[in-house]
Amino acid sequence: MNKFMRNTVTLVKKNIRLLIRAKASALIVILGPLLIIFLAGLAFDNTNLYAVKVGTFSEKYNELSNSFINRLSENQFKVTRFPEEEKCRSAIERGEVHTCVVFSPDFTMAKDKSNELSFYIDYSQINLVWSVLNAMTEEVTEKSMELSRNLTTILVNALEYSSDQVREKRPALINLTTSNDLVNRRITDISVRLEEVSLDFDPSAFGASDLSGQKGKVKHWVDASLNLGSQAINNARSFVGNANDVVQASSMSGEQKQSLKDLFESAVDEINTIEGKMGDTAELAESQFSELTSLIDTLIGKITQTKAQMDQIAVAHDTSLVELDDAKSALDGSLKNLLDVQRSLNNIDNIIRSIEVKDPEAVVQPIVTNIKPVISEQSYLNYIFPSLIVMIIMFTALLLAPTLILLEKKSPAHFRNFMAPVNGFTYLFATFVTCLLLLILQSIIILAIATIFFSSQLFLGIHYTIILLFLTISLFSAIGMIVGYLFNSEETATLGAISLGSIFLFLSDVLIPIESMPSWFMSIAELNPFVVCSDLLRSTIIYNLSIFGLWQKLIILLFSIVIAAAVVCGIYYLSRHKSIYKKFKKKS
Amino acid sequence: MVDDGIDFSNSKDLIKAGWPKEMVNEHFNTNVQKSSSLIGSAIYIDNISKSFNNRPVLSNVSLAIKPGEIFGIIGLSGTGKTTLLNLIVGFLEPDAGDVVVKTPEGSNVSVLKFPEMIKSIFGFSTQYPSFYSKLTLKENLAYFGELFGLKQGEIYERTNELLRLVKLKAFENTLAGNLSGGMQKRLDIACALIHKPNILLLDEPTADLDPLLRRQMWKIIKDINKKGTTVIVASHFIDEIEHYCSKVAVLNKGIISFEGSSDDIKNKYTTNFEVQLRTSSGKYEYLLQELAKHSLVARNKMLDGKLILYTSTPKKLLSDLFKIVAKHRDNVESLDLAKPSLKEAFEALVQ
Repeated sequence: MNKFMRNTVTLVKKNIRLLIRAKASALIVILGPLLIIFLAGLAFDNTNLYAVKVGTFSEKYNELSNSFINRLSENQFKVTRFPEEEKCRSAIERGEVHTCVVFSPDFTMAKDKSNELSFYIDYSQINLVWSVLNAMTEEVTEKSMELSRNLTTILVNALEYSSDQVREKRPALINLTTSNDLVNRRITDISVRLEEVSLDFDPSAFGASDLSGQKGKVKHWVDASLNLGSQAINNARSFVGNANDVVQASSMSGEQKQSLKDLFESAVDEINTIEGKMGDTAELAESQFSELTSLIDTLIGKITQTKAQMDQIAVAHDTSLVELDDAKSALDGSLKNLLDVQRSLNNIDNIIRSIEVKDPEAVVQPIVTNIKPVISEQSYLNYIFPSLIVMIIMFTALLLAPTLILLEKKSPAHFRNFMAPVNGFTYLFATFVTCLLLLILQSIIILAIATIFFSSQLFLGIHYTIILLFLTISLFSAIGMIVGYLFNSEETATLGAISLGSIFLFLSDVLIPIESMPSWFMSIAELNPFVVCSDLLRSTIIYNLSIFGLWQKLIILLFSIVIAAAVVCGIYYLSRHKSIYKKFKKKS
Repeated sequence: MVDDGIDFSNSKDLIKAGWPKEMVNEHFNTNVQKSSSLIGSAIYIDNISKSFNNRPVLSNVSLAIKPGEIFGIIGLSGTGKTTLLNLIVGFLEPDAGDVVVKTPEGSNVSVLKFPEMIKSIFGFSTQYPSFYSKLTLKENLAYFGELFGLKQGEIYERTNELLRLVKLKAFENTLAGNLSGGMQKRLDIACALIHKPNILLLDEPTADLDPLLRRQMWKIIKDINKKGTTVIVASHFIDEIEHYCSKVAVLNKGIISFEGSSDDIKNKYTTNFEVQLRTSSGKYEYLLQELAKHSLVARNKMLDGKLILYTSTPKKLLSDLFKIVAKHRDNVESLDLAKPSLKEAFEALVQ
């Protein structure tokens, strides 16, 4: 080990010993940042906004407004109800609440009614306002969605019930349609058959008059036949009488004559019988003819009556046909309507069925605005960690380096150091190395603590992170050394360091986005070491990017380190002798 | 002196190491030119002048300090004693003149031109201790030893040796800030001696110490000197300088008013004897009134209840003293007659 390195090690050992033994300095410089990161870890290891105090006002609280307030309370918001809107609003000014929620009068869910929530926000609390707005909007959206979800659930349920009913009643409807169709067909058949039924009733077709004529003719014929029979009988008798006379008159034996006479007599008997019968027949015929006449008359009467009835039937038939036509038309219309209804119901059913999104959640929020981080969901600590670690390094370096330098400057041993054959650069370098070592140690501890809150994500780009942390520590150590050599008392140096750190913070996006600054100011802010280091570390820690992809910022960082180192050397050589001499002169 | 392998007393080595040839030649030529003045000197202060804000503090100061001496520099406050020491070690740059130091190797080096080269030659204990109060005694010594390039073994030995020398061995693990004022002074001297310097400069080494501690301190300084270290002491305790220093320089209004031994100064600047008287009554007004009539006393002063009288006729004065005291029915409790002190000579010189 050459003399330079040996002396450096000696000086570093001494610096660390002094720093550790200066308890207050050690506490502030070493333990302070560790405490900060630990507390930050605990404080930011969540994504919720706690302890936001919400004031509410409503002319009349009701179930809906109360449910909204309960929701806020359940989500750890501290809710205070104010009796007047003005008091609620002024409570924000007094800092008693962060936001005031005013419910519109009669804040209820009702038909054709839109509820309104008004928020009073204090924009002077710029950091808080977005968080409060975000939290409130989220709560309102949640509540609104909850209500919407309920309403939609009802609607969807109704739709589903309708769909079920349509499906359930569809067979009945089909039956009804089918029956209707069947009835229609039957009516048509009936109509056809009725139309086919001829109700033309021609009484003459019965031949009643002919029958009467025929009856007369038959009677005439019967009468004629009876007359002829009577004549024939008479002729037969005459003939028998004559025949008997002839026989009697004949030579025939008496016996023969007798036998013949007997025969003649039997023939006369028979003729008499026939004549009797003929008489009977005539009588019967007469009675029958009378009866026939009566029957014919009756028949004619019946026919007439029937005709009258037939006429009535024909009228009824015609009427029925018309009515059947009407009924058919009505049935047709009814069927058509039924089909229309069925079609409509089918359409409704199809439409309901075709609704793919029936989940009320999806209906309420068909487009889910899912604001995804570029990386997986993490706690606030993950997001602010790069800025936080740079801030800790910055403030630690800005306090540590001046502390070390002023410990040396204020130390009586400063003179003896000057008298030692050690190059001034060695002291400078040793101070830098001391800062570097302590900050590296701190960074390691910070990273170790942070991993508790980060899990394994931090180690994805750890090699780049280490390089950047080293460069960050180097830069801020050099800047801290400038502060240390510029000031001659711990008080002024501390003030200077804090002021410088505050300027770096002010010119960063910690308070307000850089993008909101005027363009010329933004250009300056982009060269701010804090911004450069934060951006680089953010890229490596959060996005796991290569530092070489961010070469412009890397060059700015390296260039800043070179400039800071040059300034430190310049100030050191200008101030070293002067500061020793001042102290020396003061003492002597 | 060897640093980083370079022998600074060797001009060839320096040129080889990259030093400008002209500077090296000038340096060594200067030494040659001054060699006559440096013969036998550890330090030669050559016409050195220094002013601050156009206010001259030192004007054409020249001194030659021989090896092994305990060289005392006395002067009133603000006369430039500390400035002179600072110029010797190269902490301050003179407006004019130079300081040439003999290295252990025997070559002479200009402090002005090669301030880094002579740092190992000097050990400087300033008026206010210069060490780390938050380091222990051992740590302080080890730290400065390491800065001066001592090896660990050497540091260990040297630390023990020095702590024993300054009688602080028992406190080696105590934080330096917890030591008493006297102990801190001794530790500071030990720190100044850690690298075995040829020349030890002490600025007011006994300031703020009680008489007992001052004596202890001087014993230590003597012990250091006995080991061969040239000691240069700046102090306003003139009696101590008179007692312990082999040579004295009186610095007055920025110039060396006198350089030589204490006796030389006293012989040159004083003729009076010092009579120290203590009476039972403790009242001396009557005595001074009576003595004034006889013009026997050159001057007087009161110190610690004693009346101190300076006279060139001590026998006559003593005779008169007894008579006057007896006349006023007072008693002489103690009476000392001494040769004139350096202090008196210094006061005479300054006045």
